[in-house]
Amino acid sequence: MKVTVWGSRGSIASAGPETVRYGGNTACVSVESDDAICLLDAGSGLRRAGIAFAADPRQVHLMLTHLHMDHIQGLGFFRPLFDPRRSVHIWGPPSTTQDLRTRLTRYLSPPLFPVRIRDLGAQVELHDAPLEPWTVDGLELRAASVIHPGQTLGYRIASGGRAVAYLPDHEPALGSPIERPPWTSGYDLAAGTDVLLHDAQYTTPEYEERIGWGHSSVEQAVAFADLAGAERLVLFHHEPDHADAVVDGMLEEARSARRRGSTDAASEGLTIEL
Amino acid sequence: MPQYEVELILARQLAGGLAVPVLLVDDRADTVYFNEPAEVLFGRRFDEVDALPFEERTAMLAPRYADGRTLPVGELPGMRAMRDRRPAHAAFHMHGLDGVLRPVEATAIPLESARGHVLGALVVLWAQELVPAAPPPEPAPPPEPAPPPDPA
Repeated sequence: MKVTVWGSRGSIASAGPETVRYGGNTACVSVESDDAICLLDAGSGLRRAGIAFAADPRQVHLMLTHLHMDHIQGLGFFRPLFDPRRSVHIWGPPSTTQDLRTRLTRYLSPPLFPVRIRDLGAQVELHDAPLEPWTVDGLELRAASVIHPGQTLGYRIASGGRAVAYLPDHEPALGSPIERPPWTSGYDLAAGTDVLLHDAQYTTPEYEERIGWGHSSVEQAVAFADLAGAERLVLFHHEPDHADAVVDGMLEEARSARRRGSTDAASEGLTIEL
Repeated sequence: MPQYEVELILARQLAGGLAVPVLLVDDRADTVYFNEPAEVLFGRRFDEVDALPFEERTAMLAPRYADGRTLPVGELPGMRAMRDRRPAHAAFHMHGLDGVLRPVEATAIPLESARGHVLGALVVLWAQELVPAAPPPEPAPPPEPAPPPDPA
């Protein structure tokens, strides 16, 4: 598998000279196998991913953790969706009241967007992410609800004995202290993974003022990664107001706090081969 | 041990912050948590029992109607709430884990996920108010002693 970060920022795109190293695009990560491309979330980073994969013949799966704007705003700018020769599968959080198409149509329709889903050129197939693990094109996929306002999923993708977990918007500390696996949101997804991309939006003082907003401090991200036994932690969903120097400092804090494994901060263009 | 569903994790967090006794059961009806106020009714601290299988809990608590008849397990509010997917209520007596028989009432709501699966139930309990027994009737006053016979 090959993991590539196309957008690492949370909440709102924040391009500017102060964010140029870690990037200003919102959440989007690709996980590639020989036969498939999984794109985790459709933030503004999805636009560049769409250019990179426009001519790629592999099957594309868009896997949405939730439907907040910073995770879907790239959909309307994803080239493969406009290619009539392609089919694109979109997976997202379930709902007992509205299907995924209806919920996404709130954004992909006028007046918020000029193009409707039905007018996209590609054959688009929408699915509620299943409760049980499933397989697509040789990749073992798993989705589970995690703590974040509204119905929100985390994902785990495995192949050939290696695994990646993606929990970009996650506040496990809201459930209980990050100490006991059975009572820690997201634990099963992250347990024993080679790479864990995890929410680390806030510094500890910032978190204290934003409890319940659905995000983690860097300290909590480290505690979660250590509890889950994740080998490589990638700090993700950077606060839009954090300049590169602030993220540098948070990364240093994380590295010195971790009890095992390695730690990075997600930056656009970061690739990890597994 | 696998991780609990996030809805149960959040329910536990809520229960832990409430002053009303709350019992949390999973989809097997196994007790996965009860809060501090519920410890008074159950007669035992949660940390001492931790997770409690349904069969064990039912055997220990021995729920029964006020007249002493056994309350069928299928009629327990948590079981009804999960089976019928709607809130359920009952008044009954149960033995605490300390052996004390207590009259309680319980209302259970099913915890149904956004995927439409019943993950467990949140059971709110409270001690039933005992209706004080009516005071015994006043004893009838003793009959007036018969007047002494007229000596005349």
